[in-house]
Amino acid sequence: MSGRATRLVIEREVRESARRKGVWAMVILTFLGASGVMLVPSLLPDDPDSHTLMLVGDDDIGLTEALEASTDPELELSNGTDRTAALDAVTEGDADIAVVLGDEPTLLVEDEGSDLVNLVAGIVADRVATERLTDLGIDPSDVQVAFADAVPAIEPVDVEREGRQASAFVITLVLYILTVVLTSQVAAGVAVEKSNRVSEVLLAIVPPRALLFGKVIGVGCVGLITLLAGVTPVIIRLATGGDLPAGLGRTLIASSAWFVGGLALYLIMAGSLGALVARQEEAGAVVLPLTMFLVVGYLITVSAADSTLGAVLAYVPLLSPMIEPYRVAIGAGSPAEYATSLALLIAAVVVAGRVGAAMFRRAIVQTGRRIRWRDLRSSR
Amino acid sequence: MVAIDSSTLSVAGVSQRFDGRQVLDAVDLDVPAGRVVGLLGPNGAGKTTLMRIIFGVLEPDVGEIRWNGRAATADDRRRWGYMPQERGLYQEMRILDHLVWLARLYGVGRVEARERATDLLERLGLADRMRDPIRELSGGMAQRVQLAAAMVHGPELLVLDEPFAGLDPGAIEFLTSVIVDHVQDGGHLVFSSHQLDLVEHLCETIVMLYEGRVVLDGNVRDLKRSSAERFLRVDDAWLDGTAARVSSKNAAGSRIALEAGVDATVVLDRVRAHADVFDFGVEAPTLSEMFLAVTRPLAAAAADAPEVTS
Repeated sequence: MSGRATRLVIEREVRESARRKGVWAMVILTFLGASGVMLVPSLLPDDPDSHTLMLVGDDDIGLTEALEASTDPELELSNGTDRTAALDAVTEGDADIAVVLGDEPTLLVEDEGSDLVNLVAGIVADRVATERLTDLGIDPSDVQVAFADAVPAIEPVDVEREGRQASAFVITLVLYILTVVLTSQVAAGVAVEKSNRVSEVLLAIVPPRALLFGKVIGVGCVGLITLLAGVTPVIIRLATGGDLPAGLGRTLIASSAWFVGGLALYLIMAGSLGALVARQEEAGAVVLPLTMFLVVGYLITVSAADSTLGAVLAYVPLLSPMIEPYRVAIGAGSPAEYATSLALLIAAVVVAGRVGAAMFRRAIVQTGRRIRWRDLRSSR
Repeated sequence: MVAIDSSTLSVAGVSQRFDGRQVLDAVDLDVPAGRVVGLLGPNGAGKTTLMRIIFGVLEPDVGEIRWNGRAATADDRRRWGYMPQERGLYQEMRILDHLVWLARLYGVGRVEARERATDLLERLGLADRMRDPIRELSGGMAQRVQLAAAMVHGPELLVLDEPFAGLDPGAIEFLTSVIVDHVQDGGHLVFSSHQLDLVEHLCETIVMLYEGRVVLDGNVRDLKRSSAERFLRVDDAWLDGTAARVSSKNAAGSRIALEAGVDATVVLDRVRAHADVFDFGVEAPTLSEMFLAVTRPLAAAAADAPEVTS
């Protein structure tokens, strides 16, 4: 009967939540936000595959061949009559770069720091240096071999770190907001049931445990539905063969595990604390310590998740749901750390479930005033 | 004490303390089928606490709740219906949805729950409001929905906590008819009230609580018959040295308490000698008067008791 009662309490929570406009607004905003994260990069203009270059003057150094050999990006070459014509072409956008050849070649550009300018400047410098070395009787190919050996090898360690940090930041923010909203919702819901004596009618029918866990799971389902709304654009993107932003998949999987555990922990505690108050208005105050933990967890996550402090606090169950997904995303921890942190979180949920249910059972029947801790100890 | 038949709710020796205060002290109460039982007493007497104990919301320090001769179980309690003193419903839920949901919590199937809720709402005159949220109902209508919530699963026992509080005469009459119908159909019913005279005509059996203790209990007719007190109700009082005193006086007339052995007709003649009498009657004490008769000595004794300091 307890299982059936819990199921019915869950059903009511979900159904009544579906009637609230605020819940729909949260789901829709999460979906739109996630869709935006998916779509915005593809809506931004890509770097063009080819660029236009104008050459002015006699090409005595074989620059045309060298430029035509570039494939990434490809360079379309044209010839200009003089420097003025080249200046006009760059100014009006007919050419990305103009190269005025001579004893000291000049590049006419709009953005002197762009990758294209660096590329073209390199090719021009290479051709000029080759020409001068030849004039000095040195075989340029020997020089090229010497330079090639001298250039240190470059090994990219984590090219996606920045992308993963961005993904982790967005996901942590969403989880933080969701947890804060749902924690308040559970505490307020329990306080309302207690203050208007709904709980009195229900406790005559269902065990207190079913009442607490039914609400926690019901509100948790609303959270998961919201999360699903956020994940849906990712799934659509994958199903249609698109690429995900860097590190998003890994971060999402890690976030889901800690989100479910963290949400369970926070909602059980919020439900138990909500039973302590006599009026709905007091619910916000009684869950303030939980909200503070969430705020602290979030601030540490965005500022110092990969520091020693972050590594230590990643084991604290009330903080790990915020910190650990971020650490997983940026690869700041070890598999042992992740497993220990998750195990501690699950253990905390079990303990909170037992203690919370006992606390709820004693507090929910004591009406008329706010319950003190010693009232709970003295009551059976 | 009411005789226990084979189908009875029994409260057996229940005691409860809160914060060092004795809220209930060895309370016994029996609710047989087919009889209206009133749990009466002033505010703070312990009536609501006892009802919460009956429904297992609170666990008593001492004593137990028995159903049909054995300790009541959670399954037994799912066949009972409870209407708390304060409105105990989700204000934002639609009436029909709420009743169906409660019936299912009591163990009724979804389809049957819907049929029962619809029938009950029609019977209670709420058929046209069944899709409205409860918060939109007036106080009287909300009370009917609360009653429907206690009855939607067809309970054998109805426990109503202060059901008449705040109701207008029409609502009181309606609720009375529902109570009478329930017991005439063989159901069990106990209700609490602090308005003793308001419910006097409804109770067949009473248990009167005062500061957590049973101070009077039994069949109302027997209690009245056995009382030595008698009152003369007349339009106006004019005692003029007669062995009687005015117990109460209001716009409707006077109520004269007759001393033991005094002939009521002598007092009536004395009154008639001074004024016309259009309406009179010799009556047993009301429930309020019986209550005051038993509690006044207790209150006086408590006031005289030396103060204990620790």
